[in-house]
Amino acid sequence: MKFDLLKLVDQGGCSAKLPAAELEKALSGLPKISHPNLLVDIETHDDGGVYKINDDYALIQTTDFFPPVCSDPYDFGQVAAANALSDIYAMGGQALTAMNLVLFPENESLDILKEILLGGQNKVSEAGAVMMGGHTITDDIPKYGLAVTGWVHPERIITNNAAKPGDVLILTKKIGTGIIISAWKNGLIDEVLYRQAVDSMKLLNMHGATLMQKYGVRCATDVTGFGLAGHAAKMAKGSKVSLHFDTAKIPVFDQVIDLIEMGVIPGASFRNKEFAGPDCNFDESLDYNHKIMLFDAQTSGGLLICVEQSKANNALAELIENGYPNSAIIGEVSELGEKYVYVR
Amino acid sequence: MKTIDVKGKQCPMPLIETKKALKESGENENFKILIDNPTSAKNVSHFLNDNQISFSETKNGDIIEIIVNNEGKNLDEVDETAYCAVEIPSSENYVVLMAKDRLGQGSDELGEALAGAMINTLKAIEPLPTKIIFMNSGINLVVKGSLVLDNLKYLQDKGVEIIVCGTCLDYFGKMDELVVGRVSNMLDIVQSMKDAQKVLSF
Repeated sequence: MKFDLLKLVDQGGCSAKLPAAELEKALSGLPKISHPNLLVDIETHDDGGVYKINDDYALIQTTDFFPPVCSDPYDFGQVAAANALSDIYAMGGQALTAMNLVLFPENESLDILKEILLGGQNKVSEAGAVMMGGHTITDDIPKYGLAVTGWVHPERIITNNAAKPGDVLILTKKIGTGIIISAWKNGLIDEVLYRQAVDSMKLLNMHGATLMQKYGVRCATDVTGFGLAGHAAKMAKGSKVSLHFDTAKIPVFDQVIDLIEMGVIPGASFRNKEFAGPDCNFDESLDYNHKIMLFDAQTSGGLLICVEQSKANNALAELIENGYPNSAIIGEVSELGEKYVYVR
Repeated sequence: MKTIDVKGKQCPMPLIETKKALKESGENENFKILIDNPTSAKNVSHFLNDNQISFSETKNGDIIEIIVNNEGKNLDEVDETAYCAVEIPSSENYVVLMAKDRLGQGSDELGEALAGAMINTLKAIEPLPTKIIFMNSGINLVVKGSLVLDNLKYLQDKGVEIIVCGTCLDYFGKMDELVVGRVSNMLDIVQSMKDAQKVLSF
């Protein structure tokens, strides 16, 4: 690998996301926005906002950008774009247009920037969407992402607050990318495992969205910065239900538990655990490493899907056949118990 | 004392080195970690806290020094629920009384925001109060719709007892809407306030 983008990330840059607790504080003072056409707003911490145009058409808008999470600029462009597009898919929509959001160091080679942008553009094309332009400013640490507009039928919006007791939970990608990237940065894993994680992050959740609509799914989210447990807690709170997970069934990359045991725990995991930990109940048999794994911040993670029990096996089979071979049924939804998330 | 110098090392190397040292050092053997990156230091102290390993932390300019007292705990056998309760030194035992759902007089809107900020701030106070008592309209903070439920649950998980006046819940017809805390009576409340060394009354 000729050039390592990760070398441009600042030394202590364990994670780029503002802690959820801090963000909540900042947002709490803002005036509430309401509009008759606003179908999904920031109140439920959903993946994107939804604005109704007419009875058949609603726009989904979302944005995401971050510093490099992998070494190769072209990979980074693809990962950042797949991650930004993912919020559209998590809401059951398809992407229409995208704009680049770019921060790039003044004195770095423009070839690198070109590679990043090419990666992003190719991913947007793969999504069947149109890249419309963007905005670039200088900054010491490069950052890249997209603002995306997608669409969904107003009656087929998938939210993170519609889980129903009895639903089965499917996860469509392995977890552990945060730990793997951290280990890669420090030369603790081989390239095979690293490539698996990058390929997973590059994989669009597009077909997942199509299949969710086919199976009448109304509740899902994509697993990203708050980790599986953090996003599960949000979903459970929003839906006023409890989610139950079977740790042994959760798809996870090889070596992740060994890496945690070694001490490869990104700072985001601790922050996520602090934020969502109190909402979770862990079975006594679960060790510390497995708990921490559930709080690992994911980049461009899989979809966490609530599907009716009678349709679960067919939905799973189709997901596996259509590009998500690691999909698995990892738990189920119950009436709200004492805690929002139960892990066994 | 063994010193582990992880200055200049990027996250998560300091934690990796700490875990290594924990495994290598003997029972009750202390060692020192030198870190110059605040984020890494936070992660290390977070991990030690999570696993109930006692340590002290001092700051010397830009260098953070963490002294670990390794008690030879088997890291795989730590029961997380067991250390939720916070040991509170009796010399600093205090309770918080919320007899209103807002702070002060003047603007109700501001008062409500201040009450929320106060509960949120409590999380950062060392030590935490032993109990928080909710009376009269204060009960609005522990029922459905309150904006501070998460913070209160966090405090409860850390071992703070949340006591809610049952008569007050009844009066406002909100008995069924209680989300966090234990319903109690005047005897319990008065006794708690009398036993506390200090009462912060809002």
